[in-house]
Amino acid sequence: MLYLYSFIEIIYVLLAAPLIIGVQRSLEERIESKQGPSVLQPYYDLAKLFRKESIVPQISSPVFRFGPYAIVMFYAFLAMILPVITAFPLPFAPSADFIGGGLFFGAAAAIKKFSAIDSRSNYAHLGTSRSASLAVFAEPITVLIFIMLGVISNTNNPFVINHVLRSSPQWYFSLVHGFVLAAFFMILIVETGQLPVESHTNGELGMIDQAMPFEYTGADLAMYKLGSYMKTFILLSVFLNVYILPFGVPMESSGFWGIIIYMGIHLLKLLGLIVIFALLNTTVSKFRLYKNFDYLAVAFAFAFLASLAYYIIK
Amino acid sequence: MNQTFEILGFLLIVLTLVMQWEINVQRIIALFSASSFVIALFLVLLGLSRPNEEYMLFILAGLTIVVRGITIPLVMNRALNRLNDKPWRVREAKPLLGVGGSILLSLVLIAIGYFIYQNSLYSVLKVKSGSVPFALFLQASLLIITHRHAYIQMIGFLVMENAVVMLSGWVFGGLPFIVEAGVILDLLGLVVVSSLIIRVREHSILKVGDTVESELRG
Amino acid sequence: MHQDIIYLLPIFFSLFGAVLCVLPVKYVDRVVSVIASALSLAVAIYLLFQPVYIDHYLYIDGLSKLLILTIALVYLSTVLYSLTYLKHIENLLFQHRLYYILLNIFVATMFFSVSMDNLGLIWVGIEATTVSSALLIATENNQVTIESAWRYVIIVSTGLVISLIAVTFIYGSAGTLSLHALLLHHPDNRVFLIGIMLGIVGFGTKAGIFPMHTWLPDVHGKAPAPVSAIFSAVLLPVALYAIARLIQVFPSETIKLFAFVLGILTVAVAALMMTVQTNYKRMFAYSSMENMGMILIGISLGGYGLLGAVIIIISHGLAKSSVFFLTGDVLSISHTTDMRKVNGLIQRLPRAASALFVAAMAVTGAPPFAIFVGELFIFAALIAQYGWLLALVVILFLAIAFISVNFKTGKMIFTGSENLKRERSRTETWVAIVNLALSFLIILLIPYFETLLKNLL
Repeated sequence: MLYLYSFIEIIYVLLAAPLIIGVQRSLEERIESKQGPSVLQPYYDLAKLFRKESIVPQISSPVFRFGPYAIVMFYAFLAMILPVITAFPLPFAPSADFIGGGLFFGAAAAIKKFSAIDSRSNYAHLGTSRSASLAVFAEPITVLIFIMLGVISNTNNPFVINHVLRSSPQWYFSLVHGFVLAAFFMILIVETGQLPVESHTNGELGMIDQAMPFEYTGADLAMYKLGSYMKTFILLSVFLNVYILPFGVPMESSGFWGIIIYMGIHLLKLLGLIVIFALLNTTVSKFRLYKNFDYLAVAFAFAFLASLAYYIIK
Repeated sequence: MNQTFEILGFLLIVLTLVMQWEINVQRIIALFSASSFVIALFLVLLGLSRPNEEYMLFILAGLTIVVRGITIPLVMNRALNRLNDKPWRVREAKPLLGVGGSILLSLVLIAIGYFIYQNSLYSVLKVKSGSVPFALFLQASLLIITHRHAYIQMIGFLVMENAVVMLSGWVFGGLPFIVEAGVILDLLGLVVVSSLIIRVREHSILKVGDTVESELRG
Repeated sequence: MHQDIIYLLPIFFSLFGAVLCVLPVKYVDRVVSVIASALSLAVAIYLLFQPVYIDHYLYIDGLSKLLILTIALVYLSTVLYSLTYLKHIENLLFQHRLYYILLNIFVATMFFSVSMDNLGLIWVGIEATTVSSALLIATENNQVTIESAWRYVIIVSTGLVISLIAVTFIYGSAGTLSLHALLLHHPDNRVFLIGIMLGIVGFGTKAGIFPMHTWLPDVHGKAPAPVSAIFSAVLLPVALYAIARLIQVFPSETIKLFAFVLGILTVAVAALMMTVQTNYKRMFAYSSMENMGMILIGISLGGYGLLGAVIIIISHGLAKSSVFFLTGDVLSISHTTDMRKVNGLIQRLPRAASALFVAAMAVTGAPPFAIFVGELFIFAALIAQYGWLLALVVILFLAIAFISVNFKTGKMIFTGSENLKRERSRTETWVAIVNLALSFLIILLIPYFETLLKNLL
């Protein structure tokens, strides 16, 4: 049965991830009083790309070809070990704790960068170096956030953290949790490429992640895109299920149908977060590239304040 | 109740942190006004938690709102408007520290405030999380040291005063009303006088150029 | 009529003088200020013969009375000196009227600070002196005075916040701020101790005590002569008065040692800085700082050290105001504060120059003057408590200060070619000379001071 749940979880992530992105794109256009694409547009894009032929740069190595597939694999694995639709560990969950999950995210990002560099395109190099220099500062903050949650729950297990936060209001309403939330939200914006940090245009002055897949075509590009959709989806799910709304995530006792129903609820939760992102993307203007580091400094300040608050209030 | 105070205290710390990296003077004034309102809220809550202490704390909260929250920012903004054609563009010209540096230093100061408090005063005062006002005090002094713009220095001083109000209320249960009222009056006078000085100072800087440092050495 | 009204009269006269200055009559500000200061002086002298008065708001014992007397003396002489001196200042920041208003308010706040019973109100009074005096520094409108006024406001206010924290600590641990209650009964715990120490540091900022003294030379170097005089002569001692009260409340060994160390550091820094000064007003500012250090040492020693400190407060107040008045004369003929460009004063301004020579001797503690006697008292107490070696160190620094001040002043007065034109002598020089003479005559009153201060000795 648990294996079935794992299987359902992967299928759910694979299927729902493009939908969330589609909703966000459509919503942003609607807010700006435009017609906007269909909610299902990412599916159409993927279907079209899968049918097309892949062209590979002459001088690239096999890394370029296998990169996108490896990335999708990593994210599918992450979907099995993190609490996306269940609040109890599934069979693969013991293979990595929260920090291990963070390392998997890092590994996927590293593969992405390697394959982008391997395309030998100037734009891809530009995007890679920018993305790497941001990640250098973003990763320690992520680790600090995980450590703070570890301090609260005395463990690094995301499922236990979920239990602690949903069952003890004194932690849920504590300053530590508040600061961790603020820091994690800011990091989320960096990781998923939302507006104050990155815009979805191809202007070369500001693009970061946009620049990396410039040489990909056809099925390779489709896999690449699917990978980034899944990343966004999983990160948002973790943020929702573990940090901000840990309530109502099904336990083992909820049974099969409970989990199926929760999938719908989960999509609604994601929708709420997506609305916030869409509002951000339509109202905030982009930072200059070097200002992003100041932004990260603020995120670090919140994460560090969380640890200070823990000690001061203790 | 203590938890509410902690939240307010950290709110003040975050507001001061924002002042630290903000360079636009008008926005800093607005932030100071906001932090004064937080202090007033703090005083009201303090008054509610001590019902036997009459209504002095509520009067004090009202005075805080009127003087620190409204009048002082108003005086400063008016002086700013009179001095500049485009007051919204007045800013710290060459910040001594960038955003990252100032944030890091502030965080270090908060940590230092905590360690000093925990190792020296906690055993005597026995007030949990009493290091918050001390951290605020240290941050305000950082604000004064790292900024050259006269208004920002002035606001650093006022934030320091806010920290003292918080300290006296939280840790010791407040000063006598007559003293607090005198302190607030002093502050008002100080702001008026220093606005005058700042106005003349900016005029002369505009006229002569950079400040004459050499005559004030040694 | 209540008995206590009489003790409030100095505050009342100076405040009322400030209010009356607003009247739109020509010269009203000058006339009113002279009358108000003369009346305050008369009341201050009368107060000396009144009993000690203590209630919930006022705490007036011998120390307060002597400080009120000093303030009143310097107040009167400053007003008299300003009458003519202000005419020499070009480019005034504001009208004469505002100058007198601010001066009167400033003096009122000082009277207020030394007569209050509540430590919190003493703090309020001392902070109010900052507010009322900040603009006085910038009377002469130029960039440097404005800059030094700004530094004064920001450094002194920040320092005073520390003493506000101290007041908080004291109130938190003792439950009262009233001096007489604290003197009767005070807690003996670490919060109270830390509170008193912070208070010494914080009020020390205002008095030019070592760690936060940097505003003092800037302000004294750039303020107009009468303002420098009143700052140096009474504002600094008023802040020291607060420190004296704090030590009186809690005379533990730790506190005394702390104040003593700060005093010695102040003397040392001031003496060393004096040697390298080229600006004569700054040099005399450091000389004030050195005297404040000596007073703090005296206060920390207690007993006859305290008597010596009070003698220095009064005589230094008179002598240093005289010095700054005379530097005002020198400045108005030489138009520079750089002592290397000033010479031959004895030919150009014979009366002022000889007075300056004597006054410089007086403020550095030359034998016949009262400061010397005060220092003797302090050294007697110092040797009794800490031994010869430390006393020798302090004497060494005093000697450095003595030599550098008198050597540099002498150079300004006596060097120069023979045929310098003699300038028109000024009437306001007489104010300085009278003050100087008074600072000498203080010696005769020392036994009387002792009886006034006997509750403290």
